[in-house]
Amino acid sequence: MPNPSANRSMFRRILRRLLFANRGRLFVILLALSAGAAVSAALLNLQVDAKRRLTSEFRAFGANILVLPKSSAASSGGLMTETQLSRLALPLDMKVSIHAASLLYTIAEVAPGSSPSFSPVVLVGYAGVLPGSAPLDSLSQEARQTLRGSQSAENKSCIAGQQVATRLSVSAGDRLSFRNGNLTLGCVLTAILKTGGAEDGQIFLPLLKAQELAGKIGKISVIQINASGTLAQIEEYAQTLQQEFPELEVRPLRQFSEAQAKIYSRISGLLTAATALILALTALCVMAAMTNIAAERRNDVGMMKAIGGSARRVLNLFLTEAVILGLVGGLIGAAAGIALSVALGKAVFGVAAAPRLIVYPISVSLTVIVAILGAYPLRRLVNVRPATIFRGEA
Amino acid sequence: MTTQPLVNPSTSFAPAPQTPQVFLENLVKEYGTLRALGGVSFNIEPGEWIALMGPSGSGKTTLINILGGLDTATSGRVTVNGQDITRLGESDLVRYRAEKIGFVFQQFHLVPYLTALENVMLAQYFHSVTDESQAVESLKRVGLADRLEHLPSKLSGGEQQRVAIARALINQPKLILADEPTGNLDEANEDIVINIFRELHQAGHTILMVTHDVDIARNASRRIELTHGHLTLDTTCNFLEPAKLCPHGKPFPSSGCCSTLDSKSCNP
Repeated sequence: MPNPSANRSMFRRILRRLLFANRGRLFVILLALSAGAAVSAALLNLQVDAKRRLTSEFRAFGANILVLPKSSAASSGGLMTETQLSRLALPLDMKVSIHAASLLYTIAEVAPGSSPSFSPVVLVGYAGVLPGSAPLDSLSQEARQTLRGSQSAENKSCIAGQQVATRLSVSAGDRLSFRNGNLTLGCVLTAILKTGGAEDGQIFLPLLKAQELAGKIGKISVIQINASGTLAQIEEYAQTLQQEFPELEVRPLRQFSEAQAKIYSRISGLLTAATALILALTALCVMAAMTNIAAERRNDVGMMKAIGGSARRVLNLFLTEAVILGLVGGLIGAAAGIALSVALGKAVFGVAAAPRLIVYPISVSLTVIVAILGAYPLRRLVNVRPATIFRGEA
Repeated sequence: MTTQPLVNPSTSFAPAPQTPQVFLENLVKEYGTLRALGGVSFNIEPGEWIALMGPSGSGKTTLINILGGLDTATSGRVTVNGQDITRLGESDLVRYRAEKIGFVFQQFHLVPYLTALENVMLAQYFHSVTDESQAVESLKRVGLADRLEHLPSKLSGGEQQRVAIARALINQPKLILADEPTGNLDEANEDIVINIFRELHQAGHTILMVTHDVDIARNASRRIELTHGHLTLDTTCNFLEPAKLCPHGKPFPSSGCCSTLDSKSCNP
């Protein structure tokens, strides 16, 4: 009694022979598919990771929403209380991701070390606001860390803008003394900041120290927020904030938000276009190889049809071959591509891209589709007429 | 070379006697303005071995292609085992070729990347279900027991043709169509292949074989000749004497020859 599974076994047997009939060509097709899969997987991974990556990039540019005391709130002396900040986290269920810092601006006098010659300077007390969120603005990661490290009385670190440092002839490691009326404070200069902006003329202290020196415990001048997301999401977040803080002024920096959204959309579009282009080129490479195969296999197909092979069954063999090639090429290429994206991410954004698992099946599926599309020339074999082939006319 | 009997005695290939297996009625095939077959008619009885002869371009291969369902007739009828194949659609022709016809070609037409065994199993695969032991047996019968896993490129011409014969026989076809099966073989291999056909004939297979070689044709039980697409000789002569040809349009010299050609076809 014949076993029907024998046909499946024969199908696999023929496939194996088809695949290894020409190892050179197999290598070329797999190379094309793997290369296509690798580049597309890398780009897709970068795209998926782009939002996070761009957010971190944009965060370095500063806030896109400012929360300020209302100009009419003269009674508060143009300052807010830190207790108001607890409500900042309320709208966090929204789709935007928030990074925020609270700052206190004050004027004090500064002198290097124990020098008696004090001069006025803008002091900025600085602290991250939301648990787990990194502070923002132009400060470097290290500088932010320095200031954020401890808000306790023991933290006596400070950072000076380059103009102030030059004026005071101080460098990292030197001590600075501050004076505000009867209040005095000392700190160790841990870094010199150069941004090309207003920060170069300021000195940054932990918020608590600045508040002590200014005699404004619990007060802040501004909350800087960097909200990442689409323009509409950012606008919606700003509106929600305004409702939450009716006594304060929530001022979205629309231009900046628009630029951020535009750049994200452009980069995302560019990566999508590049991925599509790579896949199209891969399909063309595979198509070229398959055109060659189609020409080579005309006789075989003619013979298969002559001995009773239907066009559908013969084509099934070739399409399955294409799917296998796409699958193998995709599995190898996508893995390499995701690894490549980590390196590319580092080169382009300065931070390694996180491998996104979802990219792997998507990339493999796309490669399989490309392989099937690339096998289009094999469709012509459906129309092969055995008699024509045997007459040597084709 | 040792070969086993080609046919399992328990298997009957031939339909009931006295019933023609194949009817060809006024078969015409035209390629544009070229008329390859100009109204050919004859019958084939079960178990006959017919040598189909004629000069190049006389329509032999066209006839065999139409009979095998590889090509379609312009007009006329071809009935094989009661089935008018000129009315069959493409998918029915595929089944017809798989189930009723065994092809043997001059160029062998084996799949180059499949082994001898797999080439035979391929015919099983397209017919119904593969059975490796049956395919092995079939190759043993044509003396290729030690060549099962060889690719066609590693086989001699004669061996390749024997694989093709094993492939043609594996599905027990009603009709074996052979287009110059020894055309590419040396004398030794030609003998081997013809011996196989002889055994097939003795076992009751119906064979229609295109050949240019009169010596090979002498093995057949009947000889049909085509000239310019017309039937010019249909004889059961045993070819002990040179056959008397019937040039197209000329009276057929029937005296001294046991021709079965309708005298009206040749005589004015």
